Amino acid sequence: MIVTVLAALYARYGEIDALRRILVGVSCAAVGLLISALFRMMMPLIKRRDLIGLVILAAVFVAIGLLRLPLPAVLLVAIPLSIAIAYFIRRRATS
Amino acid sequence: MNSDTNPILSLAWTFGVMSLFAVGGANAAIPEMHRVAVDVQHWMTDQQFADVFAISQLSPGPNVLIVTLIGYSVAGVAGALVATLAMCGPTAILAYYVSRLMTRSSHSRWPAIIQVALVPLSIGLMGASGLILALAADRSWAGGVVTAVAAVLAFATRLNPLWLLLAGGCLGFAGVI
Repeated sequence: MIVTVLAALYARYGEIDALRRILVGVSCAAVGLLISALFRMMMPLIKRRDLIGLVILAAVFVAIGLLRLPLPAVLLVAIPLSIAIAYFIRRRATS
Repeated sequence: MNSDTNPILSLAWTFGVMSLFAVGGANAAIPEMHRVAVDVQHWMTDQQFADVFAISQLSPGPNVLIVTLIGYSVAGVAGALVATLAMCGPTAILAYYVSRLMTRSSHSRWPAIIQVALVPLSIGLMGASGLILALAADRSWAGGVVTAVAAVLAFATRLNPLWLLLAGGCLGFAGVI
């Protein structure tokens, strides 16, 4: 509900200069928050020296972020691949 | 889907499919939303996308609200409703069955393996979100500095994120960015 009201307000007043400037500032800060959440999630992988995990992470980042490939196509390759890798690592560790 | 088809149907289809691929939550699906909404369907500009993201972060509630905002900007209240339902419905059903499957096979090692396999994927997706949003939002070097400072502060302190958003808004209002 709140969000719909905000959306309506944005649609009507989004062109007002002061609001435009405020939104630019807020979006810059919001991206910062996202990046900090990202590093928080990455810390366990780095601490564990989980090299394979970090390589998979980087590969997904490049495919989606830099190459801008469609998400379904990337995931249809990445999910089975990642599960297979995790499975073989687990099996080697237990045997 | 072409842009000349009914926008409501187009929204339902886009987010319904996307919800099934939203590994790691709405923030991880942002690159795909951006690709579809800005590059493919031309529903909004890069700048509007950054605005919508900012509003969704300001609002109380889950991150998935960005979908509601995109839906609204495409087709008003009906669009907001359809986009939100399409994004949440299929995932909820999928999550229900997956969690049932997981509890039933709790003795097996597959749930743990799948979890281990998906974590790096969703972090990589979030990284891509960060990059795409930074490109959309940070139009000046000052904006980049604000993003970097906000990231460091949020990472290193327990400051309420709302304060950082507010500070960003004030700096923007003052015309610094």
